[in-house]
Amino acid sequence: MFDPRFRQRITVTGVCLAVALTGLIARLYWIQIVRHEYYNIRASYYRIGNEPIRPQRGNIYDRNRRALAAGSLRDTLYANTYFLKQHNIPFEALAIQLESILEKDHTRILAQLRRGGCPPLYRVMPPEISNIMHHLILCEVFPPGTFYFERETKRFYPSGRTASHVLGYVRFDDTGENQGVDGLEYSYDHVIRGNTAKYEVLKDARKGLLAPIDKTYWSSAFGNELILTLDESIQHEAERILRTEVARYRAAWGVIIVQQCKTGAILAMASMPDFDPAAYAGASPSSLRNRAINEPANMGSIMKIFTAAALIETGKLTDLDEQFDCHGGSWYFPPRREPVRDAPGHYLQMASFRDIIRWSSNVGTVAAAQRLERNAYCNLLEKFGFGQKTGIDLPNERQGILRPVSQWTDYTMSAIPYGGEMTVTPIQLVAAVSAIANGGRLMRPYVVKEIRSYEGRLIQTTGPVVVRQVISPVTAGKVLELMEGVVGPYAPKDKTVGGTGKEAAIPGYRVAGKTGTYKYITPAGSDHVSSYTASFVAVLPLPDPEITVFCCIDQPQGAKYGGAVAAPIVRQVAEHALRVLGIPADQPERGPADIPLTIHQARQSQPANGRIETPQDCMPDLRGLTMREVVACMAGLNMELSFEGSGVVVHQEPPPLAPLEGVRGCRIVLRAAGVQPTTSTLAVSTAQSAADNSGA
Amino acid sequence: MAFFSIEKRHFKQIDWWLVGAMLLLTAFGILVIDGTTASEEIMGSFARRQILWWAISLAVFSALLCFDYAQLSKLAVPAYLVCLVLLAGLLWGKPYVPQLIVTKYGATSWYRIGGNLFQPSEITKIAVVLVAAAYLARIKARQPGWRDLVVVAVLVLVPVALVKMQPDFGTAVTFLPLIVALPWAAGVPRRIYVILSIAALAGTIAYGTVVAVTGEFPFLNANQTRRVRAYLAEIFPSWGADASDENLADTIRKRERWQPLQARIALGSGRIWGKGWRQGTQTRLEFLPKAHFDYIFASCGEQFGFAGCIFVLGLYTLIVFRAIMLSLRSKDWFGYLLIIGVLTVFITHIALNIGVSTDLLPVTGLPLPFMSYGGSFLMTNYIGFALVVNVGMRKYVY
Repeated sequence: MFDPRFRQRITVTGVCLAVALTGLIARLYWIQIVRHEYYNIRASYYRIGNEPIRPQRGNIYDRNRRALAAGSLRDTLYANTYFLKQHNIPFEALAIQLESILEKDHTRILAQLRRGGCPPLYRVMPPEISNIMHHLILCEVFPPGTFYFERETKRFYPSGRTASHVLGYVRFDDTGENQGVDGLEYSYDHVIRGNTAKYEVLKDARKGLLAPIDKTYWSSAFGNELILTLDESIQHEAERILRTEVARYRAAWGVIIVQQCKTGAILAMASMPDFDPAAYAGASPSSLRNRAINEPANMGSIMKIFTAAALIETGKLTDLDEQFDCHGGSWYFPPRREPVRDAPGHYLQMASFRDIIRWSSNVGTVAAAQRLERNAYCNLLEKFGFGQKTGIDLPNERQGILRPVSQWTDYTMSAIPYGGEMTVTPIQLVAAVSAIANGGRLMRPYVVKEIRSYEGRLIQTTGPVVVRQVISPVTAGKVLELMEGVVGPYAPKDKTVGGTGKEAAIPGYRVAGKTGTYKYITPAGSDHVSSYTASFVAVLPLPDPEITVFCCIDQPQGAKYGGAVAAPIVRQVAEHALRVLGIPADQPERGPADIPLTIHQARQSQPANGRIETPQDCMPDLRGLTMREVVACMAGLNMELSFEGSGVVVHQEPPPLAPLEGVRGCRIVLRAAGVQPTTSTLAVSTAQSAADNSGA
Repeated sequence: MAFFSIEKRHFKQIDWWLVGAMLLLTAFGILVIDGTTASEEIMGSFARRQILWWAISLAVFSALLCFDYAQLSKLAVPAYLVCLVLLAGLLWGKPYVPQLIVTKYGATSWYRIGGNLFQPSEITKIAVVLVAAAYLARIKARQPGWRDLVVVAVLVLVPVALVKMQPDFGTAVTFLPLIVALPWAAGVPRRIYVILSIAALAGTIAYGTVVAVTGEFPFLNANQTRRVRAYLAEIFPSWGADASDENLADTIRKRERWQPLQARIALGSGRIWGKGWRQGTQTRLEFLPKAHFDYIFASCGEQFGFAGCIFVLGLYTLIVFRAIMLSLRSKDWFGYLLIIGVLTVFITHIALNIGVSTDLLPVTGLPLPFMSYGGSFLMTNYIGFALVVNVGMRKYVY
């Protein structure tokens, strides 16, 4: 109908539109196809957020996986101020409402709310407050959405004060995370603290968290766990005994260390006064110190061990029975004007070296030490680790004082041999004594046995580390022989055996030890009348020592000698440790009755029979078994069994591992578990069974 | 000729390609709206409301097919005047009927009727097309010239002024192409357009000079100035650094460029086939706000990818092509101009909306015909195309 002119106009317009359309498609192609990757990344940039997860501090366990430090999950309360604003809920009213519930000042709550965002109103709430809040939210006292909770860990110590000095304590650092301040919490902080991990979440434009995308990111939030060499039972017992004794003697401080002498692993490390790691804030600075590693003290006569070791190792003393003149307990060693004195009671004239150590004669020791050459002596003391840190994996270790030979004076050689002119930390002493017990090999003491990830994967194991061979095994054996003389066999009434350390004797075990009593100059104005340090170190059981036990009581009131104060403590701790560790008495004929035995302990001490491979043609270890189990165990051996008593086996003839060649019969003594029998009850029961037999 | 005149033969002439494309677009639009806004329900409230409006629009559409469009030329002037009154009412009626007049997004553009909002500027587009087409059709006896161009311009600019005062700059802009397009289609001599083009070029240069010299944008308010400035700053980075405080300028640029950036991200992350229905992240997580309205094309591109975009553009092309065909075959000048007018508004909407969505143009809040969420706009589209189809139906005189 139209003039073609208009057709033309429309066509022109159409072409223009077509060009525009082509341009548009090109633009879409550019954005959607060519630049797709770029925009896809930009999209995830806005959509995917990283939410931080608070680090979860790893637990600390003892060697039997009993938790010493753990995290308990607590709620942290957050307020959502966006929600509050959206729903016109006044901050003031909410703050006043919360004041009585959270037991916090409402002005503080208000200030937190005014800061905007989602402020934490209460970090790690106590469970009771948390319960109340949950209840109120459930009852819609607060509109749902006002608050949210986040689970956070609060450090707590399940066994209270146990091992407080080893564990240390934590406090919140600037970022609000737990930060180890002392002990293992400090030295292994980087291992156990965990990372502030991030996990990816889907977010919307209002920055609302919609859903986590990948949960595998969470794992890095968990810190690793520490498994210690400490034994919670020994540790607890050591602390209990030490606490009692320090209180009894009104002492300034005390230390107990139990170490496995073959590995250097610390089984217990107690220090008094102690503190509660969960409430470290109220503790006095003095009680926060781990004196086992940072209190260099004068160990007195214990150091005679090392004098003896030096004499024997350098070949200056070959015969332990060699006689020395002890001058009746007092002698002027030139250039001293003051005499070296012995403790009253054991003044010796001519005495063998054995007796000098046994009765801890200062004069005799110094007399013998005159043979030593300074350099070799000092060198040996250094090799024992004195004057250097042991390298134990605990913070704030101190090194004590051992002056180099160049600074030794003419007095030194008559002081150091019995403990003067040098200070030693308890851990140094224990490590050095353990070296003697370990055939002269000095082991590095350590507390952390394993590091494991939170899911139990082994990350790192600490094995025994030999620092150096200090003395020859022969020398070590001789020194142990000397030390055994100090304690002697268990014979409370017999004055002829044992020396100053007689109190430490344990029935059924051969114990080697050494007493130490140091009298030091009282600081002016000190409250303590007595200024002694009483110490005792024991290694046991001989001939192949397993543990070293050390105790040191500073400034005990009412008693002063290491033999009187520290030795009984060492004995108590050692007895407990022997039971816990299951170290069998190696002299059962001296009276099995003296070891209180429960089935549990007997079993623990005897992984025997089924589990331990008894060599062919050897007597199996029956101790701790019931009669029924004995019969089952001996079934294949074709022997006549004769039982005495009832309960569990406490004694057997032939002894465990004895060759069975030619042996036809076996005598087995049983006793009711848990009863501490005396010889008379044994006699009665034996007599009864004899009567029964005759009656039959 | 009766006002109400529908015969069987008219039905045979309905352009089903055109109608089919419209229906398909609307349905696809509802799908995109639902994919953008719905939560877990089978169908979101937005989509349901849109379907309701679709039904109403279809009813109006069908009703309009029953009238002879030729009769509408008589209604053009009254309809135009009613629209002017409605627009004026929005501006000056607030003190008298405050409960009827609604201000949203800073613009007083809506009447509240029942529970629904009615935007008179939408229907005004049709009225302006009608009145301009009627005018140009009437003078067709002679060669149109300058005078007619001015008359059309006045007819268009009066409502544009009223809409601009709401203020609704975007909608006002959509009227303007009518001034050029209708006289062009009506046969205003080419030389006039040459002169106009030169004048426009000169005007643009003058405007640019003013902007370059003073740094001010005449005719734009502060909001629009900021948007345009941010848009230009991205194209000419050196030019954007005119603010004394660079950080402030940067902040403003980021804020103003947020939507275009998110639209590009939505489109770009969709790739060829898209992320899938209801799987769009930028739109559903509200990084791209109002994605069911102004940015529905970006939402479409995110959910259905390049393919979805091409599908939409293809349907638009089909509609435009068929409508042009109808216009060329219409039996009279009025019908021809009516279709051209409706198409002009239609294409303007598409160009501006998709231009903004693909970040080719500065941000202007305009809906996409047949797809965007919004009742009165959907109805306006159907009314407009009812006229187009109506013309096509009655292309034979007998």
